[in-house]
Amino acid sequence: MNAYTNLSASYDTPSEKTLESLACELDSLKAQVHADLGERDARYIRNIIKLQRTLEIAGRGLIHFSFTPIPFALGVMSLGVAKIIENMEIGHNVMHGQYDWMNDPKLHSTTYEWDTACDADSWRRTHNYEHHTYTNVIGKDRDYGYAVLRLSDDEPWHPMRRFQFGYYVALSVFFQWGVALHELETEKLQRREITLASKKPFLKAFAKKGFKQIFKDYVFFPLLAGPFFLKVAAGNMIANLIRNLWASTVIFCGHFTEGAKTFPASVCENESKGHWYYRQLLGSGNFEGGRALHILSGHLSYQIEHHLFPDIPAHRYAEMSPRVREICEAHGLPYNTGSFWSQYKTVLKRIIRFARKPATAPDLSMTTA
Amino acid sequence: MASIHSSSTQPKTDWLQAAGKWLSQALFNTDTAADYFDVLAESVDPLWSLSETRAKVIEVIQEAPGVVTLVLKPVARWTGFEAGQFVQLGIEINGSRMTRTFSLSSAPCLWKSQGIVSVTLKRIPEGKVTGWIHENIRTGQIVSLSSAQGEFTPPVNAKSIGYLAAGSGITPIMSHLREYVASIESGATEQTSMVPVTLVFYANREEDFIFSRDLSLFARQYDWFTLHLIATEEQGQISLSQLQKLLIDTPEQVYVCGPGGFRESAISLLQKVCPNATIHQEAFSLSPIAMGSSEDAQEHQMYLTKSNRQVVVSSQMNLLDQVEAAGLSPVSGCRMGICYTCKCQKKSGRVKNVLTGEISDAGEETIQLCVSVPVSDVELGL
Repeated sequence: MNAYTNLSASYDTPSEKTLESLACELDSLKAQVHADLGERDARYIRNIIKLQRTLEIAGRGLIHFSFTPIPFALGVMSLGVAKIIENMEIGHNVMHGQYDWMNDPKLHSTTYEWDTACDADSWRRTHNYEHHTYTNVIGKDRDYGYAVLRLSDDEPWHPMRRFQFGYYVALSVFFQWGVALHELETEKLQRREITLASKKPFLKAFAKKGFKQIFKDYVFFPLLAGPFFLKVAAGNMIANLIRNLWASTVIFCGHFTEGAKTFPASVCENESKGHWYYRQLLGSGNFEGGRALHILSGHLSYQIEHHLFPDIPAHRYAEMSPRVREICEAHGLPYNTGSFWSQYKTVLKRIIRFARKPATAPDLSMTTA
Repeated sequence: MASIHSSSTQPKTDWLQAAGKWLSQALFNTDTAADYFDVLAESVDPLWSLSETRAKVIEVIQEAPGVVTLVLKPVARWTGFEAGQFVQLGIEINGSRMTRTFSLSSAPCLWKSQGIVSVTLKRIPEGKVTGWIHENIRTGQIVSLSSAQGEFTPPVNAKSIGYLAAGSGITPIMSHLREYVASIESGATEQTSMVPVTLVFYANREEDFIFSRDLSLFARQYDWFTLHLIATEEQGQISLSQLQKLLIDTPEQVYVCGPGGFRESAISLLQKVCPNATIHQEAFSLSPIAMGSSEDAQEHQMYLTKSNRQVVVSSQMNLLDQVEAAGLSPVSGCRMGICYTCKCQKKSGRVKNVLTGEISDAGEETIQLCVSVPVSDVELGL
């Protein structure tokens, strides 16, 4: 039994009527929550920002002043968690426009900049547009496998894919840089579909932002510590690593679990709202856990709800999720969820499984560069 | 009172400022360090914002039906004002930040001596902000206050001054009068050196005159001040014969404040009554929502500020398509309200979000072009 989708084989669209009713019910759920947004949500995000600032200041303080391993480790953890919260629960969500209604220039999707190597404008283009519009559409959603991983039989196999578990580990370790360079579209450069010259504006923005991030964590704060330069630089490096590993893990759990489906590019032509919802639903996966786990994942643990309602404040997904499940059941659609570990295990399995040469698929190693 | 004014910012050429901005972006990912630390500061004391000036409401006074005065105590670093100027008052309503422009109605002297200012505002029919203030504001509320702006300030060397006010247009004029009075009471100005001041104040009914008690008191107390209260429901609208009769001093400087229609007729009459006078006016607009059913196609003007282009737009087509039809290529993405790539700054005018059916305020805000249709004339920062 094949749990993974095969585009042509198991791609079985519900009737137009079902999709219409699905869109209608999800739209009304969205409208209901949207109408209820207010002070509670404003207070929530400000409290999260306060927590993030407190953790960052405490973390940097502890790293700076610690002379024994325990306070140093606490400082590193604190800074790592601060970076995680800033990237996941604040940055990612604010840049989706979830808090634009607050009309607070500090929390606006068009101007927010986050604590990671990726330039916010580049992120808005690649993530908000490409990934959220073409979710799991092979060839169109460049987040699908990040151009280095093969995660479905709909993609050709190449001998280099054998080592893709290694690529996965490397991508996770350097995740912020992988995300920052996403818009470079190296795979298209390799295939000579685009020229490096066309990427000049992007590279300039990348260098500007990347340099600032390096300056902060590996020049400014270490220099402040004088003779303890290396200790601070190392602490900051581990904090960045913690954030990279966690962010990568959460994001891989969002779309690459066993149950997450893929789609052919043809579905995007004249796609109805109902079908778009359907695709978001089938292409995403949730994981369950405590409140802290949800906050640390920026509520991307509710990846399904996030993809259905990307501009609704993420902390609302928990209360929307039971209704989304009901709607799925009523329309005979799956709702892909499980514990964090069970979902993550399927991600790892998927990476390993599709690294192997498929028995039936043609070997394209001779034809691709 | 809402005034329309354009604000322009000077290009920041100062390298020190640029370096500060770069450093803040590098260390805090915000343009200023204040933006980073603000959340912490305001959690200690809501008045401690580093990125904006805040004020506390210390008294709410009912002036007349539908008119309240908010007495505010701004933080000490607020830069002060001249009589007749206005401020942007920011207030958080159900988590959402709203900013409106109001004239200050108190005397600058009061700010200098006691650190207190006041704004007086009339409830605008269906106005989100004034409506909320009238129903919900309490003492202790924290608001934000911009620095004062505006040219509607007292003359330096005039031999006689005339004021024409209608409705809540009295507020900046009240600030002038209170300043004159305060300056006499403090001994800074000699009573005898005061030039003649005449105020002709129009309101619908007797009870609608804002500050009528204070104004009558001034008129009784000071010879230089002449007051005419005109209830238009009984005495009729502003007219030539009336002004000729009331402005006997033929003022050198005349200040006009009130709704657009009032100002227009007042100015054309003044040009006959006192052709040599310098006329100052304060703009004042309420931009009512264009009425009509959603099925009716309506035409509006769209002005694109950066490209300096004016085109006619339809109320039945999204702004993104219409901006593109006008020859612009704004950044766009999904064209279905999801990705926010096409967000743009609306400078003025009302738009309807076709996804939510919400009609926006007339003020400056960010909108998604692809899901917005115009419901009035609009101005976009494109």
